[in-house]
Amino acid sequence: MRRSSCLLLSLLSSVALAQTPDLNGFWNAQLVPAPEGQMLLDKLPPDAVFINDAGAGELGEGEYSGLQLSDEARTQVANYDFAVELTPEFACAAPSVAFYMQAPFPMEIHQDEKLIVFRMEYYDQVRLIHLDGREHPPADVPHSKSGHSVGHWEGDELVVDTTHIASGSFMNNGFNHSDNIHLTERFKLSADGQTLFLTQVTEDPDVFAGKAARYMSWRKGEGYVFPYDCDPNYSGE
Amino acid sequence: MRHFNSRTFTSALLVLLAALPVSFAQAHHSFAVHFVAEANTEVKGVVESFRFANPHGVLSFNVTDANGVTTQWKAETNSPNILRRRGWSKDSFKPGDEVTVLGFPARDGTPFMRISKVTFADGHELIGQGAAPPAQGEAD
Repeated sequence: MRRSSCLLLSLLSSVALAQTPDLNGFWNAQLVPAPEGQMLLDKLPPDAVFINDAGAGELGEGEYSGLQLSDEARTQVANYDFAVELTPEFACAAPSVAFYMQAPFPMEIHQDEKLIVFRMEYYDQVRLIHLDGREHPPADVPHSKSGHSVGHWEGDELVVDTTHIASGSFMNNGFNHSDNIHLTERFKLSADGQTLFLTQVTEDPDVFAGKAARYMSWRKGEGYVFPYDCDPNYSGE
Repeated sequence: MRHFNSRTFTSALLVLLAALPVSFAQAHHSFAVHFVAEANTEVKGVVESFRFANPHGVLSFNVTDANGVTTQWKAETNSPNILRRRGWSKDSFKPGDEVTVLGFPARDGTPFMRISKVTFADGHELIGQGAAPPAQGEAD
């Protein structure tokens, strides 16, 4: 009886693992996100402001997709000096996960039952998604560009919650998010396993009201993430 | 405030598609602020140096006008990582190469641009940002 129970548990565990989507591999960012990810788009909060800059897109100076900026953010963008962007000091300042996920660069995903690693080519950033049930650390733990991510599976969707993200560019146009930004993401594979879709919902009451959303996608490919090895000696002038 | 819905996404997607190919823009700095996406500039000169490192490669070359006045131009590339996958390398240029450089001009009017295409004296070309539709799945 005991042996039968063990066998049954083992079998159920194997079935569960077999049903977990396999995100492993090399993924090319799509310059224009694939519209086939509609099932994730349909789950976005209806009041979220959509930021359409994923992949090849970029918002210009003063364009914030209709987000209502806080007074603090308005002051920040009004005082932003774009000339600093062409200096060596700025060249290798990595963006945060709130921006870099939608950049048009490849990534590798390495997946285990309790940990998923995203190796991003853009600025050599690495994300760890903890699936072991841990919670976020205390609020005063130092923040980083990739933040602290915990995830779980809801059916075939990977749901990731990220906090502790260090302040950085939010739209690559002088508008920065704060250290208090909170990111909720849903990843889902296409039926053929060759396209990966992602929606992000962002909240950052320090700099904008309500919620913001992004959507992006990747195609599975053959290759490797190259080192970015940013050289701070860059100067555009 | 513009909220998300499927229609918004579809409209936004169409706008983005209409803006291609010149909006292959993301970089460590704002493209739209520093360069004119709606314009092209083309100059012919002689290579002085080439630096091929992220976040942008920089080609320095000298352009001599009809009056014999020489101006040093600088032209930055999009990410070298992307260009490596298109065949660029740190040895793509050597001092003395005669090149015709097509790109998006700097907004401030300085002799600076983002490279779209470089044509060498023997006719071979290197493609930079937004000069040709990228292959499926290829980032820019």
